[in-house]
Amino acid sequence: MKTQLEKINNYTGPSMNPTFKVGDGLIVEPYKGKKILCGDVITFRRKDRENNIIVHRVIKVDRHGVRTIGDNNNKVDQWILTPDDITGRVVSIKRKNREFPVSGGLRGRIYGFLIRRCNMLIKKALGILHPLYDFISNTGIFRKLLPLSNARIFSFQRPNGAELQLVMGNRIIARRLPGTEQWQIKRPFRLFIDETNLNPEDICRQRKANR
Amino acid sequence: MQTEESKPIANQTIVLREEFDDWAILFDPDTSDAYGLNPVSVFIWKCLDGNNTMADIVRKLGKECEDMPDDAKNHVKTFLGELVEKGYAGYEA
Repeated sequence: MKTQLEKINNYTGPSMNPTFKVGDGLIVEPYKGKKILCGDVITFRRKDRENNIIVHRVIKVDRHGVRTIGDNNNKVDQWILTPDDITGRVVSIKRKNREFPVSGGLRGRIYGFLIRRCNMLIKKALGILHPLYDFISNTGIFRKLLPLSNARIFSFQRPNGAELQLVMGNRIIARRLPGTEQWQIKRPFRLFIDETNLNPEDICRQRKANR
Repeated sequence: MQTEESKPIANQTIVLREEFDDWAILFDPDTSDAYGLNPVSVFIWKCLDGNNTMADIVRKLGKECEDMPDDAKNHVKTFLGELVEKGYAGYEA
């Protein structure tokens, strides 16, 4: 008999990053009492938040129930799931125009472990490097390396007002969200950009002068 | 102020996920809204790179499609208007 697959559109949230990214379509096999293995990525509902479907990886199965963790989280989830809470198992994801399998069982367990270890190391490294990044950004010694005459500012009408995006090539390097005057500059571009000088008129002028 | 020469660009924070039947979904991570696109709309979306005017897009569409209706430009204009209204597309500031 063919297993019926259910599709959950549009994954959101950071807890399973980089396994899942925002906007991924998740292909889910209904659980229906099947055996849950450590390493499986499951979908479930919490009793206190019935409307939200959560997607995390199984880290422990014992007589008390099922314990889960997000691939991007350091801590095991506080809840213990019963089989009734579990709705399905993620078997693959759709991203852009491709479909990728999602490992479960032993492979999923190893993958989840490695991802969490890598994330932990990256977070530690960023914690150490962040003060240095702030210091070098504030000195502005690299600012002449990236002339803003190559950048373009685009405006998008969002529900709360206009959002500005500073784009270089095909890459967004900074966003100014509606209702704020402050730019959010993506790492590592604060090394090259002084946010106090990010004025759309100035950038347009520089761009025209450069043509 | 937008003119005929303005060149719309897709908001890169919006995620395009193409399905196997050539339809696609645009997903807005900021609002969690989703918007379905038919194959022609997907083609138009891919033209929104900030280098094409609306006339360029209609011309490119004409090369891709057989029997394009005479009022295609109006349809493209309406579609672009919807994208701009939702913040899925915009223009150079």
